[in-house]
Amino acid sequence: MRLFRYLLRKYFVAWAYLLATNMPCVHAENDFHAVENLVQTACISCHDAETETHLNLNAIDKPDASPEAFQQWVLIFDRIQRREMPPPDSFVPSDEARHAALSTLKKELSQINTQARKQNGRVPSRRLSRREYEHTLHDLLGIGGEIAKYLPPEDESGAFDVVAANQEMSSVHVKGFLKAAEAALDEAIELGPKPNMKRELDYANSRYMQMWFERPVRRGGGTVFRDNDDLIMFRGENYNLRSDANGLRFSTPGRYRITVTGSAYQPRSSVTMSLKRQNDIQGNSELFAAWDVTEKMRTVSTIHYFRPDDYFYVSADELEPAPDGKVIYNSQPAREFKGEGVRVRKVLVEGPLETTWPPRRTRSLFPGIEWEPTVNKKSYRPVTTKSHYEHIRDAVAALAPRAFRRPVTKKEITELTNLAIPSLEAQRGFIASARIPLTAILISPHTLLLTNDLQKNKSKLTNHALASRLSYFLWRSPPDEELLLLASEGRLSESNTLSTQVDRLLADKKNQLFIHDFTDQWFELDQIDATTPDLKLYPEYDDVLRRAMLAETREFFSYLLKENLPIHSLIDSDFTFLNRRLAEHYDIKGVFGETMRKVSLDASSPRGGILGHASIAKVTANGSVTTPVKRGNFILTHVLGLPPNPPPPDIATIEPDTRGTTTIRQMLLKHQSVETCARCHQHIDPPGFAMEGFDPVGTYRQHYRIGKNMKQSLQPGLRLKRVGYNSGPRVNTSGVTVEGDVFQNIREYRKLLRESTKQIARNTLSQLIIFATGGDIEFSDRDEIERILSATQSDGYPLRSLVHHVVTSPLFRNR
Amino acid sequence: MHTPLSRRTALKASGITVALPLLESMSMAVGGTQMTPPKRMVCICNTLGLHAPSLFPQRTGSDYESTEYLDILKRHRKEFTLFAGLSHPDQVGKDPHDTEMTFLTSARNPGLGGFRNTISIDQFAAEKIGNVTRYPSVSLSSNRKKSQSFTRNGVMIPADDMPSQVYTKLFLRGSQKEIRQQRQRLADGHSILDSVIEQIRSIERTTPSADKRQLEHYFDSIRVAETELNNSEVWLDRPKPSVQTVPPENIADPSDLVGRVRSLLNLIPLILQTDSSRVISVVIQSDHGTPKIEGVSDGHHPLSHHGQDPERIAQLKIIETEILTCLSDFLDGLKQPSENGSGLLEQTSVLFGSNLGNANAHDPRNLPIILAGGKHKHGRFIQHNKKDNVPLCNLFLSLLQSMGIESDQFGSSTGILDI
Repeated sequence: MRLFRYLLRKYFVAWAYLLATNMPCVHAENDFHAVENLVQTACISCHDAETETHLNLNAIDKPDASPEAFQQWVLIFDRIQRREMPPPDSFVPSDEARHAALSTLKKELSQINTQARKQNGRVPSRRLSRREYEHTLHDLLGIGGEIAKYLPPEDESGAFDVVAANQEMSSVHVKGFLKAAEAALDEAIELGPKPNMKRELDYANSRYMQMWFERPVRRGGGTVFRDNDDLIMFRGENYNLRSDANGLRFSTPGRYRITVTGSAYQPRSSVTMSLKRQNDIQGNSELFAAWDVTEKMRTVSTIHYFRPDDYFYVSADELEPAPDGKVIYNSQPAREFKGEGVRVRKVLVEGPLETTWPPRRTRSLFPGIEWEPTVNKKSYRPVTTKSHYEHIRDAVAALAPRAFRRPVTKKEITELTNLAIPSLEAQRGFIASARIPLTAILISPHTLLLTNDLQKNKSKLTNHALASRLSYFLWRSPPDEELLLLASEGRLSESNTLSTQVDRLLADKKNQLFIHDFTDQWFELDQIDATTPDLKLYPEYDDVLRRAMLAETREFFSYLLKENLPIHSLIDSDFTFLNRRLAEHYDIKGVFGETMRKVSLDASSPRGGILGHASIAKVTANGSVTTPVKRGNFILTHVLGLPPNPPPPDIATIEPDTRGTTTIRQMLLKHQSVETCARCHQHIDPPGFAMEGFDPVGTYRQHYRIGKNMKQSLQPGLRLKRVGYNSGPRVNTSGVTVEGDVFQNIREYRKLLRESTKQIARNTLSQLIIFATGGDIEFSDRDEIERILSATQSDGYPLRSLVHHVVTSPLFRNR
Repeated sequence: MHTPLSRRTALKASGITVALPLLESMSMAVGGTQMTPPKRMVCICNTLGLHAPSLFPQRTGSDYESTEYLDILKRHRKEFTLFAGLSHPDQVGKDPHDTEMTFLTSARNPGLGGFRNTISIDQFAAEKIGNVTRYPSVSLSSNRKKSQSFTRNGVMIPADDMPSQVYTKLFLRGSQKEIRQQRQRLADGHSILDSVIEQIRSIERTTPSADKRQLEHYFDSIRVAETELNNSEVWLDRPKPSVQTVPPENIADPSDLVGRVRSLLNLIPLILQTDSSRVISVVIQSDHGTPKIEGVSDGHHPLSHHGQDPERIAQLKIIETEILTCLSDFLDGLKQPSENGSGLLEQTSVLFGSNLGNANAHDPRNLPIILAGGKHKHGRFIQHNKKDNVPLCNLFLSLLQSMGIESDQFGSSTGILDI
């Protein structure tokens, strides 16, 4: 559905563009002659009013007549160029006639497209997406935590959140930006008393835990017990262990270091000790750290951002039941239980990690001000050395250029500072008054919009607009001092400088935000929680695995970028990134510990390339079942960039038969015998069949799991697990591509897919251009894309080079 | 036959004396034209379920036999419908009581990693019909600030748990200082937005080639946001309805569960009658102690895990009987005439239920759901499939539609129910 809406949207975009310009008729009748010639000789016999095809070439307008007509001609162009039309069994035009028609049509379409853009360029301006706004507030104010949630979700039309044409703006957005800015300032201005920086969460001796030690199971106890000064726990996700109830609250927002000392208790194999954060007011929770522990005591630590409403708890995963299959609830008292648990010896919380108080973020917001504790020591107050107005002016002058990403005029500073005057006159105090101009800066159009300003009388972006575009592309955040300095000196637009800056930005840790947001949207990793696999069928799926799945794809993509590997590695590589948990999931031996690292793969492995990633298997599954249609569609759309047409509206979707009597393949084959369905499904189904070997959580399967009428039972193996399924029909991963190539499994399919490396490179490049500029690819962008492809062909279209080419391309440097 | 009661008569009959002008949104109606009675909604959740064998009858339809619990509601039999076999799908969460967060939203797997709550039915309604009243919605809780109201972005709206504070907020004029501060906040918002408008204008002037469409959108959005701010300011200037009842006292003892629930529910007819808000949610939640009720010697939560012990079930039933009696009395309160003479209950859909179908086993399926008032088809017991429940959101969606809120989807709804 996402895809369908996307196509619709795309179509309206073109329409808007064309309507925006009052276009003169650009083609001369004579020029179009070659096209009409081809239509009459090769097309009209199937595409007129009498025939059943959708297209009626007698009724179609010239391409400049309407956006509908334009889009239709682009489609006609593509199908003739790809030699999909006319079909081989009908009249085939001479190469000459075909060529003449194509070049005329191309010229015509490019001209119309270029004409439409003449006035405003590809992307005149766009606003920051909600994610970018969050990154921006983090960067400008030195805070952390989620802020995006104050803003309405972005349109999920299948494209990136940066695409200007899809971005919405409403009063809900305005109020959301205002609220987000105010919440961000609340966190940035920290004037409370200096908190106790080092505290211990002493579970074993906490009064709250005492209650749970004593309570029986039916009153919520019985899953923990005390062993000397250690806490032994037999259940993860245990609310008994929440930090706030055990006497540790976060009084101020900030980064905190949590150090845990613990081990596995009665382990059969290693277990996972983890930390989870929850916030009931914000209504969210997350696993933020996980470690493998054995019987040997281990001390580990992590740093995480917490807010006052947050609490955390030590959790445990991969805990096995007792050898006799008993679980903690039916083997009381807990002390007697023989299953796996976690021993927690010590939990140390340090933070907020600040070197000064009030914290640095507050100090840098108000340069030139010292702070002293108030008489009652309950807060800090500013020590002013000049008028409040002048101090506020300093704060405005410091924040505005960073937020606006350019030098700010004295007049602008004065106008913004003056917003504080009524409040100052009403004696509402320094901070309350300063907040008014600071909030105004944070929701200013200069902050929210990337206006893509042009150099005088040129089509090139100004150096400052270029700096913004570059840093929002590769950092998703505002430009830093170095970029702004280069922009001010007018040097950023020099090709060498630009190239050096690309390398610098890619090497910075902020580049992770690009990796994260780009893969989240391109590969739909942000949809990983859209469905939940059945716990009885897929008991191995949990938070720790989910986290490792996402990390694999992100680290893999990051590595391709860093090492400038040829683009075919994206779909076919002899390595991937694993930790012990994910390696176990993939049945790969010899990987220990929770850290993700590069692992070489055997030639026989179904892994390697993103199609073998469990994350991709998960986001392309429908909860507890998989369908080749969804996965085939994923490969065509996201990997090859050739999305199939949406199904006709009156067609029901095919759902797998979970009873296990008919396989999805049998159902699809039936489907393929219908000609209208087959036209698209001959493209969609084969790649989906190749991926059928991956179950909804990415395990490589030989058989389907059937859960009907199954009681849960204990499954011996590397890890003792309670499962609720039986082995069903055998999985068939073979297929025949539309080109007629036969494959037996994903490995063979990947090799076949390498034939399409250029198309994959074309799609990757297009995705990068869209993400970098905020503008969809249109007809007149095609030449530039082909130019970059030719330039990188001999090296196999390596990823980092593609990024460099995007940045130095006129598509990026012009509006 | 039917002479519409005058407002004042109606109010007198309700037992509450209210000084005019009181019906806040009515005074916004133009030129004295007859208003159609507004639609209102009250959602009440008893978070520890209801002992199912004492609640559900055997026979379905309108000739269902009464049960122990339904006896308590006997005098309202024609004004409510009992549903069985409704629930939200995929409610396995972290803490088995995390379904409290999703009772009104239906978001999946509460509390598990990556969990995000979604909009609750009351907030969905408030978005559509909340703009005409002083408060778009009111969220109440018998214990702690946890409400079940979540915004479109999944953020909780903290509940009020002190009746006297609710009363103060709704009916008493704020101190000069408070009003001044509120006014200042609004004024700050205005000056910030005004400055943004200035900046947009300057972009348009200085960069003639800038994207007009986007700037105009931004500009228009700010104008709308300002109008909305102005609306809040209008309420600031408008005197609150003055109700001449004794302000309720807060019950400090958290273990007086029944007293607390009763005092919160008592406020609701007042809120509806003065049209201070049309959307209200209430959470009935015990603290960890033993409720002060004759014959109860253990906490509400531990008793809900009765382990089929008859002694403990008997105690649990004492608590639940008290809660259902509160509900019954509350429905009586709503039978008072409203501003236009018809009963308040006819305009008000009351949803009473729980996020747990069987609290003993933390089972979030087969929830006990009672729908009262709102001129729905009542007097029925409707049993849906016990094994394969119907989404509770189908009822939510039907409810929203019956209130004139146009929508074809809410949460996990797959259709509507006949109500």
